[in-house]
Amino acid sequence: MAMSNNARARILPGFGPTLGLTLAWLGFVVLIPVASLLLKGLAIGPAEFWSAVSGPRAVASYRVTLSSALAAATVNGVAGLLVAWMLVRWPFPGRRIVDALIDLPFALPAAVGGIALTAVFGPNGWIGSLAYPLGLRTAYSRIGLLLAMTFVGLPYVVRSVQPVLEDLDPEIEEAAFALGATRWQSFAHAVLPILTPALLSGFALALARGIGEYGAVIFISGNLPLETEVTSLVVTIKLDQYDYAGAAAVAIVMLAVALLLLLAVNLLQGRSRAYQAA
Amino acid sequence: MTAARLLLTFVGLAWLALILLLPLLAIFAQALAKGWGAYIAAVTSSEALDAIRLTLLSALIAVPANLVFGLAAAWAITKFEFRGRTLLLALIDLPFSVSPVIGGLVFVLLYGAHGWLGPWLAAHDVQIIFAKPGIVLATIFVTLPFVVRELVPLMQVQTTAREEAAFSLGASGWQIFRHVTLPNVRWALLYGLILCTARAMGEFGAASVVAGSIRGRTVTLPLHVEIVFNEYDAVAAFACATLLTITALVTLVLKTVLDARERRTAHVELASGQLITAATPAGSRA
Amino acid sequence: MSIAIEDVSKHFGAFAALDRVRLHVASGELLALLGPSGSGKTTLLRILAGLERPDADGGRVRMHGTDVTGATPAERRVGLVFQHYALFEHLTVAGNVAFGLRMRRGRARVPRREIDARVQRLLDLVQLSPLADRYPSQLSGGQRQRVGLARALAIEPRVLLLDEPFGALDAQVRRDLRRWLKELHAELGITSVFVTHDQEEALELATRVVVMHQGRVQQVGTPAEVYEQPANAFVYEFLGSSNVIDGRASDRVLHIDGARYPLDVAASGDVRTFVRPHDLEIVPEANGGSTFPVRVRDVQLVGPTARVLVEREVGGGVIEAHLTRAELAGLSLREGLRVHARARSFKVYAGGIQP
Repeated sequence: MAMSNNARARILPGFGPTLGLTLAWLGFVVLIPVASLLLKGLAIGPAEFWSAVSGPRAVASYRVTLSSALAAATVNGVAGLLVAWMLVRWPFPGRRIVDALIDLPFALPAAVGGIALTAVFGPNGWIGSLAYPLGLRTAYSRIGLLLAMTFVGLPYVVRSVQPVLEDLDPEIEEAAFALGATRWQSFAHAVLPILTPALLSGFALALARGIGEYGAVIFISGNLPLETEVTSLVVTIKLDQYDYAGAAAVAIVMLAVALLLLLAVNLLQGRSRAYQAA
Repeated sequence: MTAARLLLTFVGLAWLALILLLPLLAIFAQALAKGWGAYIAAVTSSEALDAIRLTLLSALIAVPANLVFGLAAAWAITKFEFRGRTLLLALIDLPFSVSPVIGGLVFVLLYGAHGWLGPWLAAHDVQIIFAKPGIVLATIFVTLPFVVRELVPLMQVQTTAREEAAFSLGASGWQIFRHVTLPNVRWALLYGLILCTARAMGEFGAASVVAGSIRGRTVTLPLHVEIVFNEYDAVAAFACATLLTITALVTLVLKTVLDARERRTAHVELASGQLITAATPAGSRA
Repeated sequence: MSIAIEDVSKHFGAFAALDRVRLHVASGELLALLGPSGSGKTTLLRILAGLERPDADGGRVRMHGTDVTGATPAERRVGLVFQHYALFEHLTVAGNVAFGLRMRRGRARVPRREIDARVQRLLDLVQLSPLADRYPSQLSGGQRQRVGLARALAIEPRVLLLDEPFGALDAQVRRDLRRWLKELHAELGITSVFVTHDQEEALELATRVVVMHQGRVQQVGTPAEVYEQPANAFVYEFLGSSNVIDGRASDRVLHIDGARYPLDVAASGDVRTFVRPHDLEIVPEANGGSTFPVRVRDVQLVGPTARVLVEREVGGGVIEAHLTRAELAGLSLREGLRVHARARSFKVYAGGIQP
């Protein structure tokens, strides 16, 4: 009905120049460089591509990266839900400061995050010096890797769930509660289903971030070949050995995984919005 | 119930203290472990100053470039309908979704000595990789989506009626943008710029790939942190890290302030949507 | 300023929003584009405004004889008023009204003093002078729409185009603003076209009404013409409440449940007969050959009118008759009572109704 609800004006000036500039810049900065990556990786032929991406060090790095990122995203799923719930539903002193601090891993340069974690969880660190005597190697190990990925992924679940929770009417739980459900039942059956799409999308984002993480990870993981070497690092190692095609091939695998996750997140966010719109 | 709530709040806060607060405090504690003298010396060493200069330089180029790009892209995407809009948005988002290492690698493969354009560049005595242009390119790559991502969701929710009104009143394209669109998105734009700047100054993975390992030539502040850290000069590493940390904290404060300002307009949270949520038609979030 | 719309078509993908529309708007008219949503009325207004272009081979728009099909809104000098006002929220009322003049550059630049004077005149005209320094968010809906109108008038448009101008307003404000706009139009005499889906609004305000449906013009005429002589079944049904009674036609006679009415259109077989509720008479006894038996289902008193719902005994189906209180008093109706109905006037459309 309204003159311009969805029907966007095709008439406003500036379409040609702005789209032209956008495409030119995007082409220069992203499309041509990424195309050169694809060409480099695919030019070597399927056999060599396969041997590059299926070498023992690469395969070990997929396993380590994926399992650590999954574990970190799971930790963040649980902790992030709790933190989002706290921030929205349970006012406590200093809530605004905590809320602002959630984004720290996003704003802090990854390398700084990495050395800071090392300072806390390394053998001489505040926590590390307590944990090591108990036989808990909190740095230069899979645990260190997990900690780093958990750190960088922390904001995603909180920030995905928080707005949904803010829009959620507490009456839903009260209604379930009034119907005789226990607190836990009303949460599990009335609230959790509504939060699930946002929770999953936050999980997928944290997972993607963990898989691609480099700066925060390399300082604390110890970078032991076949054990704590992440795929990003394998790419840089191949590059240092002048194995450009091999680096490109592994990078293409990472690119494909990232795009798949992107697609998953897009679908989940679509569902999440459907809930919010309802 | 109150006991459970108290316990859970405590658990949540303890978790955040462990994973966020302790590392934050550790940066400053380590930086000042040998007193203010060592701290000042570390952040004013000639290597540190070189690194700061290069970091500021690359931010100074990347941020305005991506500002112009972001404004143009947001205008084209939200004010017009054309085939491939969704694809265009996905491509703009690509630098966000891939490992920063890939962001460096693509330029090495294009402009490096063994890259597609490497021989031609060498013949013309132009060096991009292992040099400052490479750092700037990698920085532009990783910060490309920030301004667009802040603007597009907001401009999509706002209908084009105001722009159409201004157009019918005789305003030119630039006037419409300057006097009608911009005032409605200025906080989101400012916020996008702040994020873009913070990220430009903190980029590590992509920069480290294009910088190579030649010390002194192409070292940004985060790379300098890495180098001195690997040389077991913890005080110097953390001292320089505090500069980046303070930048990050300022970013968080500004975010909180801008959020409060923008609470009424449809603002998109910092990290909530890695993706621009632009595939949906305007108004569907109501 | 006259406007000629010549065979204008507009497709969005496969959907035909406008299908070869021809229309002439006379100078000084206040024309209503009336139709349900999706009828193409808003698209037609946007094409008049220059915010949308017809299909490549989709006809021409002329203003005062000049082809303006490819011209921008500013080149056409049209003033636009939007359903949701589209005011510039960061500018004051005066700033909104002054916007069009302030944007003029070069030789067209308007001196500041002249802008101020013109803004003042317009604010007086729309009775908002005391609110000149307020921001749109501090105004009521009716006030905002008057700002929207003053802003559009500031550039001295040759044509005023209004898209559902009262669509976002409360009923009372709506009525007041409607009357006010009519007076303003009479005073300024500017050629105006407005879009509405509210037939009452169109009939009350417009000098002529264009009824649209499925991208086509169904009828053009004065409010009295379109209401009293609907050109087809769609217009009939859209312009007021109506009963649809199925009957049979043969030899220019319409049969409804045994009643016989003379027909002036050539039709035969099953036909749908349209009767307005106030044209349906209720009588206690069968009368000649023009009544048919019905049973009273319900009687509702709504202000001065009685709405009587009756069910046809033969053909079935509930129909509605509107009676005055005096008529009702003479009938002593109650539920279940058997009475008779007669159509004082009705319409049968050859070729049936469009879906």
